[in-house]
Amino acid sequence: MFFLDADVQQRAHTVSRKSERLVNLTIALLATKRYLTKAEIFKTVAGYSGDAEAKDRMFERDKDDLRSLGINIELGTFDPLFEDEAGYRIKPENYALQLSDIDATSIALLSQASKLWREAALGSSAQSGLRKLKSLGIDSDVDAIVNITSIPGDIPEQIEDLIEAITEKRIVAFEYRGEDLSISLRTVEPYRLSNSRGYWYLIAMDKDKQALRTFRLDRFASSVSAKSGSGAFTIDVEALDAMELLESDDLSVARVAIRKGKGAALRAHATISELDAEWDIAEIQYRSDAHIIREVLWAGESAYILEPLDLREAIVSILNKAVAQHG
Amino acid sequence: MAKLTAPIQEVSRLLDLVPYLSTHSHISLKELATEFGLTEKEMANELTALSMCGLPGYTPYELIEIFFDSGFVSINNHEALDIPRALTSLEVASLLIGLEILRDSATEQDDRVIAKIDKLITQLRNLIGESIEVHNSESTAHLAALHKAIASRQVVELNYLSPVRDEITVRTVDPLEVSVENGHTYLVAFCHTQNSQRNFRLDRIQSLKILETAASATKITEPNQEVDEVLFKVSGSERAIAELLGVSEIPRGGELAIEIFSPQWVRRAVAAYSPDLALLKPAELRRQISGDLANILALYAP
Repeated sequence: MFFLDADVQQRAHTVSRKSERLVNLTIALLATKRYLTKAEIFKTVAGYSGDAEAKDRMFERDKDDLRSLGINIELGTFDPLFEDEAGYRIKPENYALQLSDIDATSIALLSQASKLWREAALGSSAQSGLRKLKSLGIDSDVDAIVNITSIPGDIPEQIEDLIEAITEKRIVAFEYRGEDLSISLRTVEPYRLSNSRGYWYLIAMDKDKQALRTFRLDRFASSVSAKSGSGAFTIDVEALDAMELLESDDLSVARVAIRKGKGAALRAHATISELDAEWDIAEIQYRSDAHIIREVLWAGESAYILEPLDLREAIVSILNKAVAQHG
Repeated sequence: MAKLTAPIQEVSRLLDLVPYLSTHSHISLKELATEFGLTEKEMANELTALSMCGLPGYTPYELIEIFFDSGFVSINNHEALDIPRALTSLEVASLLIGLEILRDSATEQDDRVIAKIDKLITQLRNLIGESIEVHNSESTAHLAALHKAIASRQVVELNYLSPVRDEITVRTVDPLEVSVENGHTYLVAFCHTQNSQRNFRLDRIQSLKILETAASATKITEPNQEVDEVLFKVSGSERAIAELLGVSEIPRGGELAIEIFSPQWVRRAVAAYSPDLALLKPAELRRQISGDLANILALYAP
């Protein structure tokens, strides 16, 4: 027990020394006007110790750690005409906040945008982002408040990992509940995340099917794990465009009789004309037979399919089975 | 995926502390700790760590100076780190999503605020690309108006599409609260038309009007709707049916007991999902469904 405590203490101590070293390295590389060689860094920046190989390893890890914070250390030479030893620096313009023209109203709006997250996933990112903006020293203009207090809908736990994977272009894998409720592992190149009607969707290139697929985040059956480093793919713009085209293409039209004053959901996207005193005719575009059949059946005795005939036959066969089940 | 380890988070905070302190001189230790989500003791430790950092040389001239003055903190000798850091992709995304939702809700705001939100959205999009989008959805379109009516306790008139009753009805309601459940946003309101408290799904509100009348109901009551248990029989294992019934799997044998609010909903659901969804109990509802199905089938008689 005693041994373990000492071990923990030791680790806690080196943790804070490591943090200090990383801060010192950042300061040194930001302040320098020229590239610093490794030898210069090891000699001047506090915290590098051990033999040459140990220092080298330390430095490589430090570079990775800073990169994980979005701080990129640039490699270059001071004078390209001479074969100088390569050196390192952080360009202030890459390190600094890139938003310009932020005023009191912007701060008030950004502050509200960050508060919408409350305790949900991404809430801490929203707060740290806002903190950086507040560091500009602009006071919030409290008049600019919009009347809303939280992000609508549930916020899926996978959202952070997906945003990082999308922006860093990493391949990811997750378990997904398919249309038949079976759970399978999907490996994808994540392209785009969108929120619509309270649901979150991921549009991604499915590596096994070699095709674009849309995944709903509440159907994920696991967390998301990274399967590659960053920059592992380029977005297939043609496939994305084709997917958007498909959404309006490739549709069939059904003619559906709807009782007057009824079938509001069916009427929403239909062209309506009159059949007789009791019924209207709706022309409805559809992609899947199963889907249009369910929509028409939802309306109960207020709607029936006129055309196409194969849809009529399908629905009659379904109803015969259902009547037998409830007989 | 790997989350940032504690020391890396610490580095991130230390780097952000410097520009924050430089524009918030003489801030109280308490306020500073709250802003960075730490206890006062943790914050004091981090400030001490920061005072060990500085430019190479690390003489008192090069180290960052931190002053504690009876509970208030200020900083000196910090020029190298004076600039706020660039936003990370998660920070941009979280602020962007928040702004998009504000934009959707800002229906009755003045143009100046909307223009401002749009400008911020464009700026953030430039940093992160088109990869994250929030659609203008019906569920947020009425939010601002409803929040306003709740705050000012005014009666609201809704044009509401009820998919169970299959009609658009005009409801006069006292709005009480907006809540979110199962991916949908609801208005909880006392409905004068039905004389009881009801939940209205925001995406089914076709239009609304805030009336001059003052709302009388101000408190949420426990729902007094009767709940019945029914027994379904599900064939196969289709995700759409599992989601309709609010379960994540279909048990072997397919029998599922579910609590329902509206028998009318069960009748529509069974018709729509036939023949993969059938009702076993109660017998009375089963008979009604049998009648419904025969009546629908009769529509197809030659």
